[in-house]
Amino acid sequence: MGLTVEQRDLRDAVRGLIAKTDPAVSPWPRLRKEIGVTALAIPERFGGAGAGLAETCVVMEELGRNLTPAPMLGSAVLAAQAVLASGDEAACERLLPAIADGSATAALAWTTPAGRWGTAELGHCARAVERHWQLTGSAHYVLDGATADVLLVAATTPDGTGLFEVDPRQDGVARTPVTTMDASRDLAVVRLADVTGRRIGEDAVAPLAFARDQACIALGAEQVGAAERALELTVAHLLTRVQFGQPLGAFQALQHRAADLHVLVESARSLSRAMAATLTGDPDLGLRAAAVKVYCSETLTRAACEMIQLHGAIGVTWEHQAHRYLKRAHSGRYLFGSPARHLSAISANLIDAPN
Amino acid sequence: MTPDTGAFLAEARDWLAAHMPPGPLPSVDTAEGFEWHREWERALAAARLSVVSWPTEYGGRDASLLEWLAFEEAYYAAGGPVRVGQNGLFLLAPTLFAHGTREQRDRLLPPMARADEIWAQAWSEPEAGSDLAAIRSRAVPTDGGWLLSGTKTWSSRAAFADRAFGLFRTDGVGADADGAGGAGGDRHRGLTYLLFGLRDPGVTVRPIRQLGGETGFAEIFLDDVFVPDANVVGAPGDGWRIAMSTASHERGLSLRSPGRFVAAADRLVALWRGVGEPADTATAHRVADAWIGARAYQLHTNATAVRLAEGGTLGTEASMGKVFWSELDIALHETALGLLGPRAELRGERWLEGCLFALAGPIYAGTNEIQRTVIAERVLSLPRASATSPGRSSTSFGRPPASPWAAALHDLLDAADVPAAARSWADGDRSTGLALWGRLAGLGVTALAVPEKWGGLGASATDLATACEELGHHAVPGPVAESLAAVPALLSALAETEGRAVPDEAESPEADDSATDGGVRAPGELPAPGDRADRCGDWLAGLATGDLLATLAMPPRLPLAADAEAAGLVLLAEPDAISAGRAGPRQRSVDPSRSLSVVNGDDVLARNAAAAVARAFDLGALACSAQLLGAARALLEASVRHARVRVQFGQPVGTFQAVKHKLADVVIAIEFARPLLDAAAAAIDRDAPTVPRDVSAAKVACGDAAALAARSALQVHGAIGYTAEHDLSLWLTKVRALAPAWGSQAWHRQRVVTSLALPSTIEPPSVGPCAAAPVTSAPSPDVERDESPWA
Repeated sequence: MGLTVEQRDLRDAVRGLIAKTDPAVSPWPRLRKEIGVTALAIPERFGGAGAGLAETCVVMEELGRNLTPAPMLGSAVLAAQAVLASGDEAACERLLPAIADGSATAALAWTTPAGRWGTAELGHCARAVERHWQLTGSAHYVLDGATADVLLVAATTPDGTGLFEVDPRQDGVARTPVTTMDASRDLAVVRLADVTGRRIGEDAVAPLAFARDQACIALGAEQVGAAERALELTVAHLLTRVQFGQPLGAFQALQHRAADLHVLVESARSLSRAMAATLTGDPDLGLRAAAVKVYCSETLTRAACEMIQLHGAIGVTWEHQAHRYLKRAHSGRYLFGSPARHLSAISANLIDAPN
Repeated sequence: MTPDTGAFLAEARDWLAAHMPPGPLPSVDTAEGFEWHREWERALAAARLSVVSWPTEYGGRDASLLEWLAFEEAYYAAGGPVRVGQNGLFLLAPTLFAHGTREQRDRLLPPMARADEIWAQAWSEPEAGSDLAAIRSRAVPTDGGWLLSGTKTWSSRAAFADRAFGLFRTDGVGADADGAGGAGGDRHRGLTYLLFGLRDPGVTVRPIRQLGGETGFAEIFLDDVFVPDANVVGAPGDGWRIAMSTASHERGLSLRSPGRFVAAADRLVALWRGVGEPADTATAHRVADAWIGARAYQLHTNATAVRLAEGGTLGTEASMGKVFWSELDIALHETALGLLGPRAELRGERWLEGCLFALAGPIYAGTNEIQRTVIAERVLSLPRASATSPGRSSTSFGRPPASPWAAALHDLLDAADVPAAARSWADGDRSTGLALWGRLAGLGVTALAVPEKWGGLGASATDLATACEELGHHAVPGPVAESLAAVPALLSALAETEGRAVPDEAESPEADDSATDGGVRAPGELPAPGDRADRCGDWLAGLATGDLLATLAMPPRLPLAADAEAAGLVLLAEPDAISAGRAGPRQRSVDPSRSLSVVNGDDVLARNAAAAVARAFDLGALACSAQLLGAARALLEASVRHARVRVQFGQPVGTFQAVKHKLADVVIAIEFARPLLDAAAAAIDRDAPTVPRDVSAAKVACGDAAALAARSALQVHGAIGYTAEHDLSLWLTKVRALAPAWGSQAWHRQRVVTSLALPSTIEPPSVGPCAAAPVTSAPSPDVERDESPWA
């Protein structure tokens, strides 16, 4: 799957900006201000650029390459797409422009510690009190949950499922960062104790599923970028490290392993690009998202493990970056549902569905 | 097991139970944790449990290798902490016993046993990792000793340890940049094994942080560090030989005893029982595979230990074991992380820490890539990269025949042209094949599973497995598992008129003792027990002499009977009825020498014989597994023969590293399937309750090994392997036919999983003299442990 001219320009712009930024400084402010990455998948009437998932994924691949920490996935994709899919115009007008221009980040608090990202089991429940809603519960693995300006919460309601906007500055809101192995991804536990929220849209099952599926595809692109870079670094090592009087890359077994990895990364990239080109309203979005989630997670895990092994002992040091790719592989693997869960969804779709 | 061993193990278990720290100690790779572990070592030493395999004069118990393995199992099952002194205890100490002086042992071993001195290993250097011979650190002779200079790296726990042992270059001090030194460029000469203190003048230790965050290893900079002559181990210049004997210990038994993996597998099973979803068969099968792998490693190590105890030497088992346990460890931990889901990434999660540590396994103690090359070159004798001409084409490797009888069977089959017999059988002419069966009968093969009272040998399941492996090795056509194993087992149960061989049937109201001999019975009506015994006895006698071949169907696992047209007796065996019958139309198998048929059973022999049917099934599955293992071995041998002689790009294809590594993987698969087959046979012979689990583990491992051997053989042979004319097709198709027979791989994995859902026991080594009473495993407490260490 090739990129369009505009997509290639976007990729080059992001890659160039990240490359020119001092490693000790985050490129995120410039990415959102100069390139407007957070605006990409938001319609123009809400202050966005009116592009789509494909463009978002181009950016995600680049962010994945160097494991650049960024609130893109949690804010511009998961949270923003949930609001957009809710169909609540007023909420969109209220919330999306600031997310689009990057002046605010949003987080979507969703799942219980079991981490299923379904709608049967949510971290919070909401009860109506006169014209307000009061929310209680706790949600885990919330991307950028501790620092987000805008807090969205998925909650069980008496009539089903709702999406709520909650002012994080209220009393009763507790946001605790979680220490994870992947230092480049911020997760938090969000606890609400009878906190007031404003409902967005009506039944939230479809908007949440849509947002999750978009996020899975975006995450897949990030994983492809990381896997590709892991492979590049590994090949570079194979070309320079000498043992037994020759570069490691001269040993056939290692050549074949690198070749196998290349095939894996390329096929993951093809899948990711094809799925990112999904049109809105495609009834197979869920299936596509699940496929990307499984395949790209496996690809990055394999690439990261191979990177460590092919680097030898230096691959298990803190100083070398190999472990960061491995940890990123672990953290992404279970985000938005485990591979096993997505495989079940695919098999249910393919096998159990009527002909 | 001697009473002394039993008493020792009981004492050890009691002590461990009473003194085990209540929670995990801080990581051994931190300063604080290191000292906690040192205190633990001191406690062990005070109880004389820190170096049990050493002589008593040095604080040991003179424990044999097998006793040491049993101790280690108990240690890890009890949740014992990492042995912080392991480099000294399991690498340096054996070296001192083998190559050191009395003075060195007296001086160094007691403080080592007490953990007053903890040792680090100084092997690798920045330019010498896998290529250890490329080391450049030097030892220059001086008055009374040596001066060490250079840099060592990846020295585990050197930041906290007291002393270190390492290799230094003493000849060819002016070595060139590639480290190729010494006269004639032999880099392995002129190396010396020296001991030094990590706080000696001139030593600087720089900790290196590991990917989990701890400073688990370090670089050591040496600047004219003085070492007295008394701290040279062995002769100067002999260091390589001494170190390589050490390295074999590192890869092999000493550093990774099976206890660790058995305990981890048990914890994984407990985790799966706790949080696994029943519908998630993919994960359940991975849990089964982890358990099977740990069990295979345990059995393999025990068998190797028995061999060593009987005077054998440690060969390439060390390399095979290293690849096997290191990859098992990763797979096991990844399965656990899969069960934990998002919790898996939280710091402090024990399984995660274990997984990160497991990632280093394929790297340290010689990378798995190096190990595969060693296996390929030393086990398979594949030529080195420099070879340009074809090598010897004859091959035989793997263990020697188990007995003179097994050797005779092997020779008989070797001399017979079995491929020709199989081909003509496939073409419809079974005469040569049946003549071969006749000769097998002459050797007693068909009588193995027939009890003596009916003219058979009443041999063990172990002997039966040995025979079936040979038959699989030679791709002998005909209903092997059926006629040699399952049918005799079934008929033997039915022929018993004494006791309750078919116990359920005693409750059946349909048995009629008053039926007359030879009377016509209505369909479905049972024969009188005496009648039945006579018929079965006649059949058994026929099987024993080879006059009768038999086959059977056992739905649902074996829905069709194989080779019915060669069989004089066709049975249909289901839990509710066993019948003699007729075979329906013949269906072709992928194996051209095999046919399959539905069986119509109307001559009912017994009802409600579920137990007898189950036992017969397990014996048949064992026989099938043995055939698969034999076929795997044949396929590997064919691959090696071909790889040695086939020349492309100016050299035998076996010199290409990718080919070597591919075949090394087949070696490993076969090597670790074998102990599971042996254990399954032994369990059947003991009538153990674990038979279903053990037989399934054997089928899984043997089937997978055969499948890998088949794919690899075809690949190595290239196009010619794909032809029908090449004999390879006989084995390829037989593997393809047998792999799903007697229960599919998935079904057997599921059966292992189901058996693990029952309360488990860690079984003691089942071969050799150390068969202790079963140790009940309490699965180690599960994952939520954050308690502080014991006070």
